[in-house]
Amino acid sequence: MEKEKLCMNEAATMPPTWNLSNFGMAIQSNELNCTSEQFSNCFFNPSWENSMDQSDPFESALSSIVSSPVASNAGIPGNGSENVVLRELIGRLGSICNSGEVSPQSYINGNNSTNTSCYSTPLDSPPKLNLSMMDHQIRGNFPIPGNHLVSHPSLAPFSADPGFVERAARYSCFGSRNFSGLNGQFGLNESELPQRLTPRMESGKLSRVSSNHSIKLSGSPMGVQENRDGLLQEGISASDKKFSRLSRPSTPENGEFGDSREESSVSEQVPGVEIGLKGQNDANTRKRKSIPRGKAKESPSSPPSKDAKVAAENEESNSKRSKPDETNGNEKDTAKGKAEGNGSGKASGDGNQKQNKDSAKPPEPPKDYIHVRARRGQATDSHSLAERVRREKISERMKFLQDLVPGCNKVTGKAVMLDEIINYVQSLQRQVEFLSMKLATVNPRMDFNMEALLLKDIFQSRGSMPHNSFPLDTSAPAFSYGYQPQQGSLIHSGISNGTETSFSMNPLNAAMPRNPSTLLPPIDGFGEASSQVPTVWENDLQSVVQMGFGQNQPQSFPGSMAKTQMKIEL
Amino acid sequence: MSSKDSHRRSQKITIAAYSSMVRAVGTRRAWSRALLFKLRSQARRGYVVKRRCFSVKKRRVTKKASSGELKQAEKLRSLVPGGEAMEFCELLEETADYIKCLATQVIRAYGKHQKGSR
Repeated sequence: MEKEKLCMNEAATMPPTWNLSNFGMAIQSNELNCTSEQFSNCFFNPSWENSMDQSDPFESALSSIVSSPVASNAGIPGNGSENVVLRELIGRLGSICNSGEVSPQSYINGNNSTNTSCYSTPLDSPPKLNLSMMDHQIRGNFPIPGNHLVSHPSLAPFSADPGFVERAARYSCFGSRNFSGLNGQFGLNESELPQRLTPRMESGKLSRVSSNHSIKLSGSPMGVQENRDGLLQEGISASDKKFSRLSRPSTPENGEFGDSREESSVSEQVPGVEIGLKGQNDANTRKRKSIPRGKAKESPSSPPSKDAKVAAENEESNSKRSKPDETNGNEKDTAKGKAEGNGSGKASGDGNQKQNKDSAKPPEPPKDYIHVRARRGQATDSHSLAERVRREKISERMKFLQDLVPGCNKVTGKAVMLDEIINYVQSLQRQVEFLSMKLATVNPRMDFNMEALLLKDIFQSRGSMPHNSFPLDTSAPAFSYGYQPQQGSLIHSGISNGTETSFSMNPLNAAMPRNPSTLLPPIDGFGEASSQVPTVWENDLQSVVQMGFGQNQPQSFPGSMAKTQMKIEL
Repeated sequence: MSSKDSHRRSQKITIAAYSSMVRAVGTRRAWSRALLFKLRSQARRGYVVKRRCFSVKKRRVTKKASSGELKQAEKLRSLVPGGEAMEFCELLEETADYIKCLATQVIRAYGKHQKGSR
């Protein structure tokens, strides 16, 4: 009890935001003790080499953790079926991008009635968000933002749609095709999909396309792709609400969409779409028209400015780069670009005049057309290009990190972001130390043998090893070497050393003869543990052994370490 | 003596925690490889050499780290195992993976602790 309170107190001193999330996760992890093992197995499954796969199981683990309260609320004690379900879910999520699969939704619904409540959330809003997220992920190999936990359960209905992945992929590259091809694409898709879900998704997409298209009429051919990318990015990064707002109005237009794919009808949909979006489009249109003329307009809101900026920038770089490069550049620049490029010579004072107010934007905005021209000449330089690519990579990574570190969504700017990351890593390390020490004291196991763990030859010779149990278990009860034949001499040497160094403070020292054989029997409480004394027992490990002995320290945790009390529980 | 003992003890426990994490990740990641190498050499040597080499490197690097960004990068390098030899871009990637693994470990350890305390 006291220990629990202590833990709470200790934890409370840690940065609150992170701790909250940890607590939140830990609460569910109680229910998920076996399942979390599987998650970690999925994490570190060597076959999942792909970075996307690495992020996938993590997110699926998060989603499962989120879904666990549902299970726990339903009062499902047995984790067996839950394990199976969640394992299936993980597998499905992992294979989302690869192929169409059996719909897990029905599966999950069958297993867990309570889950339907969260999976059957209105299909309009989450699917929209996930559509863009999946698109985002597929294109850029980005992880789904970790903070969007709520949307994860709704990924399950996604995988129910086998063709979704291909459609998402197609959407991602439709910008490279002409509009008629696009129409043909949609027509094909529309005919394929009987479900309510996908037409809505498409209508949502179409609404964007329509806006893009109207812009395309006036602007450059790249407008469609860029605006779409920009809109998607903005949806991903900032506004989920926008998505939901966007999706709902588009639902009633479904029928209209189904009828015609012509420009006129599509453009008719534009007024029906959210005013915000329309406003953005107008702003974009304005921007696209103005930029070629070399004017810099102030944008009404930041998202359009972002789009415009990206679009403008892409316009500028259009002539320089091939389209695939541009797509990548699109993604990265639209992301909350950590302006490392602030240091680059390109940004300079022009960046301040630019429409967007974001100070962290990439530095190549063509504020002044003439200046842009001059910079363009620079851009062709191989060094500049390489630097630009590098900058984009860095911004991409920073965005990824932003998703990982909780509470960094609002932070803009590389410096602040880096500070946050550093603090977070330090905090995590401290937490790991704290928790592992806590576990080590709680579990009076003396089976720590890290050296053998690390030295593979010894490790393999043992045979019995933590490989069976999950390696992340820092309490290391799994390092149960105890049953090795070579115990005798080693124990003797080990214990004798131990008695000299660590037992000195032990009140029982005087009572206990320095004899390993007699040492073991009195330890009733640790009888089981002592029988598993590690075989290779070096001097350095004595302190570790003392850890196991010195358990049940009711006072403050760090303080307990200082006392080498061997409490023998009789 | 007790403080030193406690320090040694905590050190051992930390080593155990990190080694278990590293074993889980394997050699897929640069930080994991670096940490594995460091832990193994520590095990062979039987003591921790970390501090000495660290200060030397710091002296060399601090000359360059005058600007804020480089200071941060240096600090991040110090935190992420193996970060010294990485470029900034690679460092960010390794940091992301490292954060992910640390968070996972914390969650699991905390869950285990909760379970054990019941």
